[in-house]
Amino acid sequence: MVNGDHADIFKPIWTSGWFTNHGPIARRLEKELTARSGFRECVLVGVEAIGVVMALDCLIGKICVPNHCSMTINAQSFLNKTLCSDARGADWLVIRSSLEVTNKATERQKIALYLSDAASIQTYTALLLKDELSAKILAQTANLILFPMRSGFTIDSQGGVAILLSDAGLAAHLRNVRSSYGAGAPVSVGKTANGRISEAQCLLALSGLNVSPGN
Amino acid sequence: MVTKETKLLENLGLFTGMPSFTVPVSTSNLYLPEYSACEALFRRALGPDNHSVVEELEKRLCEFHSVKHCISVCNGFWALVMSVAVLAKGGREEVLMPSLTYRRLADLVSWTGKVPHFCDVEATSLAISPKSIEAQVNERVALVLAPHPIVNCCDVDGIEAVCSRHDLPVIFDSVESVYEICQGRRVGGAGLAECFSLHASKLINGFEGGYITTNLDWVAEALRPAVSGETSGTAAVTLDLALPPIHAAMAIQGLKEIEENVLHNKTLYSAYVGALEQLPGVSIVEFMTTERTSYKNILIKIDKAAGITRDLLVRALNAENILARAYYSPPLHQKATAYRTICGEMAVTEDAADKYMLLPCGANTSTSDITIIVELLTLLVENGRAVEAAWKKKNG
Repeated sequence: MVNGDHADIFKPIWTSGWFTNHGPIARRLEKELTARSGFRECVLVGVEAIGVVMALDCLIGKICVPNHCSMTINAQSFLNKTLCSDARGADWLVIRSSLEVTNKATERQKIALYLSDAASIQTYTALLLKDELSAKILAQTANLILFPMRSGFTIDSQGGVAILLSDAGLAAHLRNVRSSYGAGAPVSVGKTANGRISEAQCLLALSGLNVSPGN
Repeated sequence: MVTKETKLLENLGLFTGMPSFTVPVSTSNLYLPEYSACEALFRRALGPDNHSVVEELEKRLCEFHSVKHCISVCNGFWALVMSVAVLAKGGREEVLMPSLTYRRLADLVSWTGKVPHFCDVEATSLAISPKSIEAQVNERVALVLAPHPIVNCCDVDGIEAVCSRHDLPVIFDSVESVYEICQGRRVGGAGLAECFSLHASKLINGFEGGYITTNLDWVAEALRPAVSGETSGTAAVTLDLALPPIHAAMAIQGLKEIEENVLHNKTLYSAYVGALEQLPGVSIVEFMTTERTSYKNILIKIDKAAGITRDLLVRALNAENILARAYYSPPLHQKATAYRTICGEMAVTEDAADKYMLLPCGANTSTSDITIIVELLTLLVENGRAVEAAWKKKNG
């Protein structure tokens, strides 16, 4: 766990000279998270609540989220959007049956899975593999996953979130809504929000993954 | 005939692809304190009591702005979103705001479900004014969103008076006016609330972040739960928009060093004023030095006498790695959006839209950089027609 003894983890910002958002350190974190999760795209957002709002706003069709989580309830209320809340209490994962039912409704629908916590990405993947939601189902069914990186979690960026997904078009859309293109070319979006993550936050997250930003 | 000027023009980055600067010079403030000065604060920001760093920043900002309340938020954009969401009059849908402003200002209004209603700006200040508000105000307006312009401030007293007359709440977007004293008052305590950014490009660099200031207890009581994400409270809408302690730590150090930061900006501004004095068709928008100002941004106006358009000038300077930027271009009412907007009379905005540009400034710019920038600017302006012709020829 990163603590006050690790204050020198921020030195690379002074070395790189990039101290705004989405610089080399953010790109390193995105690469690390996509490699570990198996998803093809990672969109980092500096604030979890904004990540949830952005994701729910851009998803089409009936959206299924856990009903236990204040973050999704708040986002739903903020967006004034109707969501399906059929989730299992033990781990807050959306239950498979609800996904299957939802999937029959329309081909264009998108489903958000919201995870409450995970010890690490590897553990999280293992949890899914052991569970009725296999990696295959995840890839075929879930359009995106929001992976929180906040205090008390193994990966802590002091409030950021990683949106993991494999749809390149949706990832590009989210990056542009976020206000910082990051990887990939700019695409046109109807409106933007500031969801930028700082290099300092990404250094914290990399430290939690025991990854040196220079690797 | 190959003249000296032709030879010089041929060497422009616009035509050769070879920039004058190897490292880009930007229009962002980008003030970075020494790492050693931040280390103790970073240590606290990673410790078990890291919320105390955020509290300390809020306390210091209250003192700095001479206000009763400061509410830190994850960034300036969401400080404004939540202020509009909480403070707009219920049952009304329009937010009155200028079009010649920050490129995402209408977007942030749309996140609240309100409709941006664009009004014109005043020609000298380039800011929303009592007159431009009066021209567009109606019974559907829920709130006036008044951003201070890049250089100097808007007429705060006048805007407060007109809003009071119409019983309308007003919020000031003070992102570019952190340090300013406006009409004898420190920026921070006007309207119902004022919103600020701690992005690295702003005067106080917190890596990222924002805050809201107010002197009104009821406003603070309404806004704090709205940005806390606490569902047990009374807030109709709430999102957890906490400022990360590490950003607060960086901002505290930035705030401590603000005078050095402003002094450097003043040196750069003075260098530009002296160097641009004789250049035909180019005029600098001067800071009102009768009141306290940060000298943070360098804004110039390009008139027809320059012989080159603002847009080609920006392009030519960008090709030299001089990251000059067109000023708030295009204005918001000319942009396609996914949401409904309302547009009033825009004569001044449209006239100004293609005339202004920002030149490099901030901590990473030096006076010797300015010498090179102004030399190139002079070359481009004095040979404006030739540059335009060569550019047209190059692009068919």
